[in-house]
Amino acid sequence: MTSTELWMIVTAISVALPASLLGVFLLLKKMVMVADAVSHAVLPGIVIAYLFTKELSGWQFVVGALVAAMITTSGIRWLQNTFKTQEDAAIGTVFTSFFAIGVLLISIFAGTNTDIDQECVLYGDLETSVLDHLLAFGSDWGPKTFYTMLPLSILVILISTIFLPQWRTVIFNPVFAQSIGLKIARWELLLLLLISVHSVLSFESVGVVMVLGLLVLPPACALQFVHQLHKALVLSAAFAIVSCTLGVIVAIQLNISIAPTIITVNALILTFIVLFRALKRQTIDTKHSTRIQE
Amino acid sequence: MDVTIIKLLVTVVLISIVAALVGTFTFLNKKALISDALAHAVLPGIVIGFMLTGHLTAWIVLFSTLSAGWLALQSMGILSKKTTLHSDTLIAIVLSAFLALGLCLLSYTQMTNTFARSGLNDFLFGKITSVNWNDLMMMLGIALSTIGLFTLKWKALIGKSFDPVYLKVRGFNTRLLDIGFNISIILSVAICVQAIGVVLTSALLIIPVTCARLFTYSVIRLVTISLCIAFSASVSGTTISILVPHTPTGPAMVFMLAIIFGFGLVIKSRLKRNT
Repeated sequence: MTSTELWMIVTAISVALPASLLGVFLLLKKMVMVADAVSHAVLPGIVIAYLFTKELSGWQFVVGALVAAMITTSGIRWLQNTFKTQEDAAIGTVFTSFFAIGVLLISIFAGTNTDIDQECVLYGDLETSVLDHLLAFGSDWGPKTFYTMLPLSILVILISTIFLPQWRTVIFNPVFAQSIGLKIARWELLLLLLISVHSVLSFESVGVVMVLGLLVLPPACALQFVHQLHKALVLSAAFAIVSCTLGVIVAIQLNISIAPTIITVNALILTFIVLFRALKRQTIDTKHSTRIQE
Repeated sequence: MDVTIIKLLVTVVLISIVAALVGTFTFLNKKALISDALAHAVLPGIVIGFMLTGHLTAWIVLFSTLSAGWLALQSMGILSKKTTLHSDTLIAIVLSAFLALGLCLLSYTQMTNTFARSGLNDFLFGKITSVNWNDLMMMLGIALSTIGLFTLKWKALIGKSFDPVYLKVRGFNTRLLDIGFNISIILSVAICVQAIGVVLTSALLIIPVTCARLFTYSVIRLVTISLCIAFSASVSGTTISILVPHTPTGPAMVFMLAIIFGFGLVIKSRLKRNT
């Protein structure tokens, strides 16, 4: 295995690890589609920041992402509260509009010959983003993408470990959380803001659409086995690491895009888990005549 | 009038009719985001259909979208039975898994087959000008059968949307109705993807009816208003995408939908203030 391949795996993990941790909270708080909306809706923020700076990194992107996330979430809540729109329709309306504006901006202003095009919005380009290395102090430090993701990974790990008791209360006992003064809306907003920052920083490597798979699939696998928050976090991170490693290797073997392969591998893992558990349960249940359907 | 313009107009009318009808009922059944998942999920079907046959004719696209969409719905059903995951999560899982598989296959075919690059990429963001007469005939068939289903089963569908339990108690076979309704969702997605692309198809199903819902409660009015909205947005969006170079049709249409929705919100809040 060459050093480029190793760096690809490490970079993929640095993208997938924070997503898998945030995903556990998302799944348990049942706000996956809101997060999907936020990760789609950062696109106009990214494009506008790109038009100002003409490159694909910098603090402007984080600001653009945070603003877009705030507008999206408050837009969804506003439609729900003021106009009594049902939640799924509000989400669907807001994020498709934002996403369309982003794609239009790309096609009108960015033209066809720049770093940012319509297809890379969908699935990113981990292969080429890994080749862009950070050179400092006369030596090669590895891909830049890794060093943009590293602070976020550390931040997410810190936030999820230090505030683990608070998260647990907010997720599993919201009434008690409110009575001891934890503001649930604020924790939800923190989660969505972290997701928006994540989807902006990982824009180059996985794109804004594929990031949903990284958020959802590892926790979905993990929650098949465990029912405790800290175990779910660890297991979800483990699934993310495994599927990144396998995904990068498969993608290099077949010479196809990396980000979709990682997610496909992870989806296959989930399929196997569900099938395996269903078969196992069936063999146990054969004695009992029927399973009680809800 | 030019033949191409007539063709485009007919396409837009057919798409709007189907989208308004199916969109209203997916909205009322609270299945709006399922249509989003289905729209993403048809991509691997289309790519596999292309890989197996080497063509992208209307019937291949129809058959492959139908089977992929059906598979996506079934896997959602299986996951909801076998796991304890919330319905939101199920939608996200199916959406991202199918789309990722589709993108993998897409990058694989594009490596081996250069022709695929142009034809298949149009399905990502849509290109209404790529619709030909065969596609149009297929769209006409789908539109007529959807209209037929919805007029024949109008009352049953309304019942299913508002009070499914009552329907069951009256001894109505909801299973068959469910299958018909699901097929019509997949078919509507199938004819929309070519014009709007897999990523934004759900917008044409969701936004018109959400906007119409601001003004009325009656189902027939919901359908009519959302038909008008879908039609005007698709006509203006298509015009924009033809006039401005490098602009895919889907985002242009959805942009117009968003503008109309914005106007809808302004009018609604004015009305609210007056009363």
